[in-house]
Amino acid sequence: MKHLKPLNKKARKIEAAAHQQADSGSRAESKPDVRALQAPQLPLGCALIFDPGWEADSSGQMTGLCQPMEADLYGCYDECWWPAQLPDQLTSFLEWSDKCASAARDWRKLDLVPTDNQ
Amino acid sequence: MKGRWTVMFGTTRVILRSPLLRPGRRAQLAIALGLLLLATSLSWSQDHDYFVLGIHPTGLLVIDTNRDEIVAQIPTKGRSPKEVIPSPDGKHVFLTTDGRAKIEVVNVPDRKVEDVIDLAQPGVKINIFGLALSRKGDRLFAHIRPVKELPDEYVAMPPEIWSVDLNTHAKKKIMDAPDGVVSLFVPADPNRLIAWGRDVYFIDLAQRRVVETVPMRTGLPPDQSPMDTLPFFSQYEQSGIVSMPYFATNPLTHKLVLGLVNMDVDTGKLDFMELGPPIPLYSSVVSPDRKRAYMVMNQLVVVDLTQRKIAEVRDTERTAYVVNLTRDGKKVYLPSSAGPFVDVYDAQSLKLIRRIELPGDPSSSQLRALPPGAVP
Repeated sequence: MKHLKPLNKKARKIEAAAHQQADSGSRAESKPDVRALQAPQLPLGCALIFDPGWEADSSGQMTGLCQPMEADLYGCYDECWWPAQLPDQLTSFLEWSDKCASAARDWRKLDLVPTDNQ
Repeated sequence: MKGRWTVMFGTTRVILRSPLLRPGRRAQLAIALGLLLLATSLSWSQDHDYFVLGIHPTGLLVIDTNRDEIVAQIPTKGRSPKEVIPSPDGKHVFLTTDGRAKIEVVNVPDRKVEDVIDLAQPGVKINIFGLALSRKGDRLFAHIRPVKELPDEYVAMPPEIWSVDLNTHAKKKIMDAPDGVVSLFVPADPNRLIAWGRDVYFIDLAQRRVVETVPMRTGLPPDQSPMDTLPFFSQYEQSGIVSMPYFATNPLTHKLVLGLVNMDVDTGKLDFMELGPPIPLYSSVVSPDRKRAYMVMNQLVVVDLTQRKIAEVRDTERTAYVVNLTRDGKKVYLPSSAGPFVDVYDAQSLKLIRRIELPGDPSSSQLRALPPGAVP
């Protein structure tokens, strides 16, 4: 890919990341450039598996999850606990639940969120 | 009007009309009845609580704990109130809304949003994690996490603590904040502010810096393991004690343990107590007599603070993030994180005595009591 030249900051970061992956030694020494935008810690009760999320608590079971876990939608939406798994209110999808006062009762009124390939 | 006497009290009009009463006696009776109503009403407003609670998508509810009914629903400008901070006179409530981006000033008796305070600079988006009001009610403190919005990336900037003069509306940055702060508290010393995050930080407002840190996750000696708290849901107005469950790994046995940390808001003095094997819990509240603590998530857990141990565990139907108590300590309120209702428990027997249906989900909104004497 030497014929491609990065023009903006993001492209330069991607190129740098590709170089780091190619060189495992330099990758081990690199420092992550990620800063949490929310609370630094997750409570014991929340799911600790991020992909795709909501399956298991810190002990590998389900008793430590919110009950019922489907109805905890707004807890995660409001505070951005699981921004990869559902729309987040802190940054991207403020209007997502405007028509839905109660997630368990009115979930059919939740808006659709377009993904990148739509 | 001849032969007809009226006494107005608030919005209530008492009409006295009887041919058997002479005018003099009617007048005397009307005055006596008016005074009786006044005394009854004043004592009624003094001895029970009104709670305020945010709901989805845009609302603040006022709940009368005497009747366990909603007495007011006030529309908010922004979505999903989170921090809920009543003023010392109970006439105003300060909320964070719209993804914690704005501060709304709600006039409770007028049932309307009076002002919206925006601390964001141009090109910068903020989220507020921590809001506190000075004890005089004239200065608001907010901990913000700014994010610069560039065309192709977000840049997280250092968190900051700001103050807003509520008389002049002047906004002032106090200082850069330590990473991970989630809650702010105002102690008795007007020159101090307490920020709770990874550790507990005591801030000198004149020097605009942290002057003391109580380590919980960082800077601990090797024989102490980090303690993990979730300081989002702090209801402390009934006892003056901020209370939170903590989780840590015992450095000798390497097993996870549950504990409770209580902070006297006036003095900032912290008290840690280990309680045993972990129970998943989000938040806790201390009873007005400071003898019991109630912790919640999927269980309602009672801690005897005198004996410093768990006294009782009761399953709840659904998860609760938040818990609060009435001023007399007799009833425990659990807004459901997972449904449009608040469950009311008897504080002694832990029996579910009432379910208050709500027009929307409270989710993770704080549930705060208006100060004594406030009549919304």
